Amino acid sequence: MSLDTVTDIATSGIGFTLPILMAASGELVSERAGVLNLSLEAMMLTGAFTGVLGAVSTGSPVLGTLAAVAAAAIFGVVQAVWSVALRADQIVVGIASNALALGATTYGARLLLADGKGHSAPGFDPLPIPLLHRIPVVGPALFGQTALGYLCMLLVAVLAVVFARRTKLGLVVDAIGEDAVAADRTGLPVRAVRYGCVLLAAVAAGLGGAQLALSEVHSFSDNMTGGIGYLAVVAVIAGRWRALGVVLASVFFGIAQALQFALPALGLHVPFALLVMLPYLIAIVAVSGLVGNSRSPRDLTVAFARTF
Amino acid sequence: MSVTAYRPIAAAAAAMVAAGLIGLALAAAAGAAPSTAMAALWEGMFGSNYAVGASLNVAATLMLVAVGFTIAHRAGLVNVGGEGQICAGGIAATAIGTTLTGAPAAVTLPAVLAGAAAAGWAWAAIAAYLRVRRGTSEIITTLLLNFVGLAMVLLVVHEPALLRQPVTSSETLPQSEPLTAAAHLPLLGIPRSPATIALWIALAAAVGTAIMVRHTALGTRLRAVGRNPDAAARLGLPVDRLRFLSLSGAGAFSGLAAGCWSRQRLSCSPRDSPPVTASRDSWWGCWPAARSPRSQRCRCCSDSWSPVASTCSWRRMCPPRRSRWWSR
Repeated sequence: MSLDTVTDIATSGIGFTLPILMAASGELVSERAGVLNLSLEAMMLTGAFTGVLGAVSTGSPVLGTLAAVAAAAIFGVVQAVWSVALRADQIVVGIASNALALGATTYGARLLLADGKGHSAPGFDPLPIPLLHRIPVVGPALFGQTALGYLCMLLVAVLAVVFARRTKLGLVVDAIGEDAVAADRTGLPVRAVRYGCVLLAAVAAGLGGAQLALSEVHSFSDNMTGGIGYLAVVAVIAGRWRALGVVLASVFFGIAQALQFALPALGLHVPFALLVMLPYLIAIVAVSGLVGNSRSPRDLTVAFARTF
Repeated sequence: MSVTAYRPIAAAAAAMVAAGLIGLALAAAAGAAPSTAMAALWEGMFGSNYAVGASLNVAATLMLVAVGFTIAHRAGLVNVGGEGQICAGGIAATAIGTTLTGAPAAVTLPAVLAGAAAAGWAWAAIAAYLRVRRGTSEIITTLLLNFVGLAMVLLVVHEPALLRQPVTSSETLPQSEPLTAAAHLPLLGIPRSPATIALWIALAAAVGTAIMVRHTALGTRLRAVGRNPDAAARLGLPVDRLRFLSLSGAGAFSGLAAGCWSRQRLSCSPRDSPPVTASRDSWWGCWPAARSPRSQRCRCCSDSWSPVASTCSWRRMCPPRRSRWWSR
């Protein structure tokens, strides 16, 4: 295995990682506040579709990205209203949202992108950073991204710092996720924080979808996310609700997906379907607690109701 | 709240009417007159004996999966893995139905159904084991196992050593051999209709399950576990065993649903395999070869469809747009 091959795997691995990581970092905050967004897949798919639609119709990928964020936020509002205000089962709401988004984006793509314009949306071009790009292996992977890709990396870092376990904001989020009733009694705005966190997760997932569609593929196809929203949720669980763990888990999933293409290129004859199932098998092993003991926030998926 | 609590049928009817109206509005937005859309819908459901039979077969499938879901839900578990369990059941049914040639129908048919149910049971048992022993959320594991199950179907119809039919031209999709005639589920007897006795199987399962959960000790125990596992454990119920059995039993019903499709062959069409949320959409994309549109062109890049990758998804089929992914 030559250095070039390793570089290729790293580069395409980071390409697969970034959408997952972007969505997972928002989901991490939301889960720590006690709301599980299984609708991440819906938000990413909507972001990808609206991003392409916006980019095609305005000709500007930046406006497309803004449209992606706005549309994903709509699914965030759906998830928040149902799971926070109406106290519906968060998982059921998430799964229903995913089905709705799949149908809506497929329908929308037939209706609005059917004339073939959807196949070549104006997207972001790679902007290699001059010197850093020359570093072997990690240089092209990390510093050969598009503007949106750098923005995603930056946002992940900002979220990790702002919502760290020792900042005030991070403590508030953790307190609400661990025991919403007690947090409410100490005067924390439980509902408002949960609304904010769900919307944050939606915006982040929308950006992840836009990154996938506008930076990586430059087009939209039906069911383009194809399960990576679920992988993002699993990355949070496998990362044990810690920022660093989530990053590592996302990179792991990204590399696993990149191997789908790298192994045949290396001449290894592995059945294609085995490579398709590889990330999901890894995910099952990861969520089964084989990565070490992990404990979810205690009030995760528990709706808050003031009982006094 | 009040409507759903007291008038479940009214709520269900209202939901169906609302969904129908939204569907009509969407069809109108796409340029179809509401009358045309309505007529097409009616034609597709009840227009001919064939349509009625196909609808009944689908209804039977959904009913069996739903019955399993109910059993698991009584014990407080949510089984969103119907899709993967159907895939496992379909593989088992095809494996038995294509290899057990020459045996009489009285042997083959029960073997196909039992094998399918056992495979679905085993598939769900993975999630059930992880739930009971490691406390892993069954929602996450069943969901992920759906993707693995779809990939398993892809694997067995692609590999000549497994279930792929030996003679395959570039025109045919990767698919298994057809099941032997002895493995075919008997038809209901409606002229020119594909309706099979799957309907009776599903109805029997639904009625039997309703009696089981309401009027037997086992049903009461399951409900106790679902309401409060800690209290149930204090009362001496084998909570872990009941939970394991209810979830894996749900898988057996989904597997049986796959066995009831056993007039066809296993295939994976080049349509997208949609994400696997309810146990419906992607399944239909992946199962009846007779009805799948055989587009030979990849929609992503409009290159001709390569038989190496049959699920059409940008990652799997298209040459990447940016050369850097494959640069060398």
